[in-house]
Amino acid sequence: MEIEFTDITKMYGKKCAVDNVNLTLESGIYGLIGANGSGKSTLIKMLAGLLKPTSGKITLDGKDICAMGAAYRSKLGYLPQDFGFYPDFSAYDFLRYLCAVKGIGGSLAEERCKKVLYIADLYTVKDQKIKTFSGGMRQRLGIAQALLNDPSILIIDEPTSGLDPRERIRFRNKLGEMAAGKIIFYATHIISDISYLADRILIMKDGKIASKHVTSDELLAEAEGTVWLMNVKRSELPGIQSKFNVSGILPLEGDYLRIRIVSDVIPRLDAVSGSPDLEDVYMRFFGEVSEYADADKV
Amino acid sequence: MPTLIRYELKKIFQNKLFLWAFLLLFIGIFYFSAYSLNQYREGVIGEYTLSELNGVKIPEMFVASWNIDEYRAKLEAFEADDSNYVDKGLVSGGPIYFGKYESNYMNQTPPVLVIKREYITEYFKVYMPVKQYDIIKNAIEDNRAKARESLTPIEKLRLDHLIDIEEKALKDGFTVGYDYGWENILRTLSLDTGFILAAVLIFGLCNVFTGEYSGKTDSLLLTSKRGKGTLTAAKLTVSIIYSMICWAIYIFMTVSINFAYLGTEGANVGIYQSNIERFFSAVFYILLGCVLIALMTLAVSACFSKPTSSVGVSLFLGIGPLIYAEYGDERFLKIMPVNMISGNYIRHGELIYFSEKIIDIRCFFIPVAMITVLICVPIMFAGYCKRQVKS
Ligand SMILES: Nc1ncnc2c1ncn2[C@@H]1O[C@H](COP(=O)(O)OP(=O)(O)OP(=O)(O)O)[C@@H](O)[C@H]1O
Ligand SMILES: [Mg+2]
Repeated sequence: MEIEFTDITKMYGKKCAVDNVNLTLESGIYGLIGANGSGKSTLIKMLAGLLKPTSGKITLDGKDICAMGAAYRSKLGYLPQDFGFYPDFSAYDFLRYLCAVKGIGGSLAEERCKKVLYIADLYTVKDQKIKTFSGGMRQRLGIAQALLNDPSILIIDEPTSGLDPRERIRFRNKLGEMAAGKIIFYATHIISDISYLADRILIMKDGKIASKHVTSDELLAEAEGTVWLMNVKRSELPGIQSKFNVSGILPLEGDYLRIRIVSDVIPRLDAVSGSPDLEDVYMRFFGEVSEYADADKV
Repeated sequence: MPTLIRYELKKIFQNKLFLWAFLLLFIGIFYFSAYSLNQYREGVIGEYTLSELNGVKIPEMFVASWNIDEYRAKLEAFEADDSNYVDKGLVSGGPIYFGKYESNYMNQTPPVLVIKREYITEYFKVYMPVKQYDIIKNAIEDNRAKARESLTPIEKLRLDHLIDIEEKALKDGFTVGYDYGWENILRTLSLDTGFILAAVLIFGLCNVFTGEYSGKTDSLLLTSKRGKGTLTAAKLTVSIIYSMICWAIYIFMTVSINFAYLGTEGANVGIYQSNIERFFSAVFYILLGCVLIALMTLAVSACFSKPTSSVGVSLFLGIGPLIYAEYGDERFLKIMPVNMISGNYIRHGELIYFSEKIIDIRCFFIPVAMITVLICVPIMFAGYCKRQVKS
């Protein structure tokens, strides 16, 4: 199974949300990270068939996904970033209804509903109306519906943003468990999810894929030597922030701070090299210098 | 599909807007039934007020040009027989009896022959056929006279058409009997209750698609295997079921309120030219109108993301023609689906001038229905299935 994006561009009026993306996805877990507004959701909606690209096409094993229609959708599991429920339906009814929409009938539907309710840890509340659910429970119900048809292409847009750490880890593990033979395309802001889970990391910036098909180890290796640690006086901080990407600040005794800087060049002679993590990598791509440094002056 | 239909119905019936609209429908039916019943009680049949006719029952009688002379002979015989009369002289107040002479009940100036109460039924059996026959015959003559001096060619065509219908009624015969109940039902149906029925359909169905868009469930449905074609078909089916339910409640309630009040025999007796076939044709076209309004609402719903726009546009397209057609003679508006639900054609018949002919409005309904289906169904499928989910 292979999904191919060819010259995918999406314009909203004059605004270019996705800019000429070329990408090939084979089975595995793809983590898509990028700043707010970088075009992740737009790309994902085109993959889910909800948006027509302004130009370019997406194919599954050589066939255009728009032309495949129901055959493509039957393989698809999709969790949107922002979606709704029928507030007066119970969780079970909601899933049962979506089973019917997904073409799963009879006893298989019962079985699948039960299964995903367990996965999402909602079995005990399955008869409660959705309007009584908390944000995290709704999020889990969203995950549950995406898994109903045991999809071979699972597209998820920020699935864990509202989940508590336990549920997030549970979900992450579940995804890892079922990933074999599937394409899982996964947009998130949560770096740790990516580092634990994704085989491949795609970094999206201003509608383009800035870095593709790298594992987290490769990204980390590439970032080696770009992370610096140094102790500075509190008063020096604004000056440093206006010049460098600061990815961490730790207060020390007295008037000193220990800061972490992401920079291709050594920021100061007394800085020592540190080992990078994925957040540093993220800052390398997205840490626009000086954006917040001036906040104090205002 | 059955599961889809079940849940889609559930969605419609959980819609708050719909519950209010339904309440309005119930109140509307009661109001308009009571209104027309009340009017009728004070109304006039022939020259007599209804309450005068209390208790008079006659069987249905078939009248035509070839048997009218029989009735006329019997009527003359009845009137010639003095033993049928109680008294000669003025009647004022008290129990009501009927006189030989056609007089105005309120100011009976000429001496009146008062028929014995127990003979009234007998009298009506011979009087009504002759009376109805003469009414039609006079109408023909009136229309002929008008046609001779008629103002416009259209008016002349219309009168010619009426004369044709009336002559046909005399030649082929018509039924006289008591159908006050039926008549009053037609009366109720042709009132503005139809307006409310259309509103109930629109309020109930305007969210079928729009609700998915505004509730952001569309992205789940449109990415599912059967979330386009099959689901649209299910929504369409459910909407037709819904319009049938509304229609059934509407007809059932109107009929039963009238019968509860009048009794199944037509109770207080209307003695009239029978119009039951009009009732059946109206019932059919009302159903057709309901289904078409439902279709129009669905098509609009599939194209609008905001519930307010969806309701507004549906109301404008659905009910608008009824309002605008009342001002002036907009023939195009008069044949829109809502006029199948509510309109004069239900009771009196309504004629439309079209391509140099005068045509019964009902002849337009089936073609209008076909055109509506041909327009609305593709719009609905395209509006929903080709939707771009932007936010
Ligand atoms: N319906 C729309 N009309 C116009 N512009 C839009 C629309 N949807 C998104 N955009 C713009 O397209 C760009 C990409 O948006 P998108 O939602 O894909 O970003 P994202 O990476 O998913 O962001 P986030 O991390 O906040 O979810 C943004 O600049 C956004 O303002
Ligand atoms: Mg997004």
